Amino acid sequence: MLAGASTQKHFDGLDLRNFQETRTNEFSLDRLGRSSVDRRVISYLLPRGIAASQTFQKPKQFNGWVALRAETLTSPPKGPKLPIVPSPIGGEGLAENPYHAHALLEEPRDDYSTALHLRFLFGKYGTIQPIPSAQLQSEQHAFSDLVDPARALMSKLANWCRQRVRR
Amino acid sequence: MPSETQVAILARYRRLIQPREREIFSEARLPDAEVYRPQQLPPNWLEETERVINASIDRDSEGFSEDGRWLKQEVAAAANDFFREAADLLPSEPYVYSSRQGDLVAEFKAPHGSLTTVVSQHFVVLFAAVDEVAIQRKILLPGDLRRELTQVMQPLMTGAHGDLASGK
Repeated sequence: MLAGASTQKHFDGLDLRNFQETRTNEFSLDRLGRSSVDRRVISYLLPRGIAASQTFQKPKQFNGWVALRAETLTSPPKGPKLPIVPSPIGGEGLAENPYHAHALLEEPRDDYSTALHLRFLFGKYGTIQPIPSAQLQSEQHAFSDLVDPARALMSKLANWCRQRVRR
Repeated sequence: MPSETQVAILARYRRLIQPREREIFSEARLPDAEVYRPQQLPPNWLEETERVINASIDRDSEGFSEDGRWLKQEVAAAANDFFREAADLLPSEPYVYSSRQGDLVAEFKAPHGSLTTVVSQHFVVLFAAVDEVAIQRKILLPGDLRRELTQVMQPLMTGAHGDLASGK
């Protein structure tokens, strides 16, 4: 919602910004299952989703996924075909994601047509894959247990730096 | 010799049967279409939308944030022009936010789908999702915005198969 809007009518669609990839021509995806959504994969990806939502300048709330069959992207009823490339991410802890993939975007990244096309496909043919609320609560507690001490440490460090500068 | 009364009656009769000439106040005659040009009434949401846009201009151009809350100044001007020119063709009050580049995104609901418009300083993108079909237009400014918008709006108001679709 714009800063100047105190109230606006509710919008029940998907936010276009979630489909704008301005850095690379790779649109990041998670493979949620082989032929349907796999609960074990969801359980594995959930803490990673929550962690990723906290990496923004203003942390966001992670609410789940929009699940879409891969062939809808690779051969959509209309519009450009978007090849999907599996791209597992190595690493340790929450940095690791063997279910990661990306769709290759052909058109210029500053163009809106790809973002609008992607959003149309996800909005029209996708299904919302919400997080089981009990699991979400436990994951958020676990995550905040990790993050809060780190934030407190950063805050102390920043204060210490300010004091040093004043002296 | 006819009497004065008879002359007066005759003159009145002539005035009645003679076709009246149109009164022309100027030598330069205007076509009717120009004189009776239909006036488009702006929708009641236009004023509030303009207020929201003007109150959301990011004055700090260097530190532009991507949180969807701020618009670039040039984009806000283009957005105001867009709404003033085409508001009467748009289907409903928009939900507005900014894109990652600071352009205006306006989401509309229509009887047979939805319309998304992206207003930038140099172009307007129209994207209509009508039933199962997506229609997209990109108009470089200044372009024939009203004509393009009218074409996109037609299926949104009547459906992909028009008025003859079953159930109408």
